[in-house]
Amino acid sequence: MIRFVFLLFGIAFGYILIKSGVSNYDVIREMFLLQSWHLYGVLATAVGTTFVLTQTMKRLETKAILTGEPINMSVKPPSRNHLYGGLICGLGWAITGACPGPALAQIGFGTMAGLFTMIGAFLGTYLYGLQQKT
Amino acid sequence: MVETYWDFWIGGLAIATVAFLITFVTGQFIGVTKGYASICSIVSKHPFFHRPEMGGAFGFRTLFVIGIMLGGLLAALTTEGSWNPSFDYGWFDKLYGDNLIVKAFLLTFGGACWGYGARMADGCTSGNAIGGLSKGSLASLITTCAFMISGISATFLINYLLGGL
Repeated sequence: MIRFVFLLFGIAFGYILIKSGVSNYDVIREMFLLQSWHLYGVLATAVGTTFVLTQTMKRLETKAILTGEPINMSVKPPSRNHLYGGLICGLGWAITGACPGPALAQIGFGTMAGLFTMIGAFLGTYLYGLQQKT
Repeated sequence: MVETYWDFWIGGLAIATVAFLITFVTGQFIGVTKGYASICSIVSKHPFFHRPEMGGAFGFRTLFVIGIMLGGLLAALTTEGSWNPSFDYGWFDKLYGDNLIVKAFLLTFGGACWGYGARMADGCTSGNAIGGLSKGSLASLITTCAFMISGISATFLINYLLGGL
């Protein structure tokens, strides 16, 4: 059931990533060159709204519908890796013009450049994983 | 291909709605790159890819990744001009030239930065900026600031060097 639900959420998310412009190289470039505020608006609205909704669920101690369990709101303590990892991600974003999600949406949409970004993301994930002991 | 986009607040609210529903319905938080790790667990026995948080081979995170691709297809099929696959990539082609080998190499390298960096930082844009920040995670705030600053700096440098400014 949870897999079916995530398939549906994925379809909705992919559709939205195309329709909001997040999956377009030129739009990402304009954002990073500070030539357009469109994506900053998208991000700020998304982050702000999700923050309010999540904090509300936390306050109300909401239980997830499918599991009936309290939602796990725990966070990881910050580390150097969060800084370095973020810097590496930013370089990837500047080169590819697509995050790992939008790269997938691009492939479905027909922007086949996303195929290379996706393959790269698999390689990067795999390389990092192999370096870990557990 | 001329594309028009939703107003920024519609896009933002739509993303927030999906993020909220994922948590409200399943108790999980939105995130894409753990899905890449879950797919790695299909072909690799390495314990890292089989950590419970990755969701397992063919688990819900794998399905999320497949869904996003289908969502992109849905957007193409419902947009005027329909599905017209191409390796054209807008300004990318103007900056680096329209050579498919160069494009494949650069994008694969950039994608590898994403894959590696995201595992290092426990998530990409969706996992950190949307999911992590909503929980009030300081780690996610650090990562979000880092990839925005790094993205802006690298884009200015690339466009300066390649005549895109």
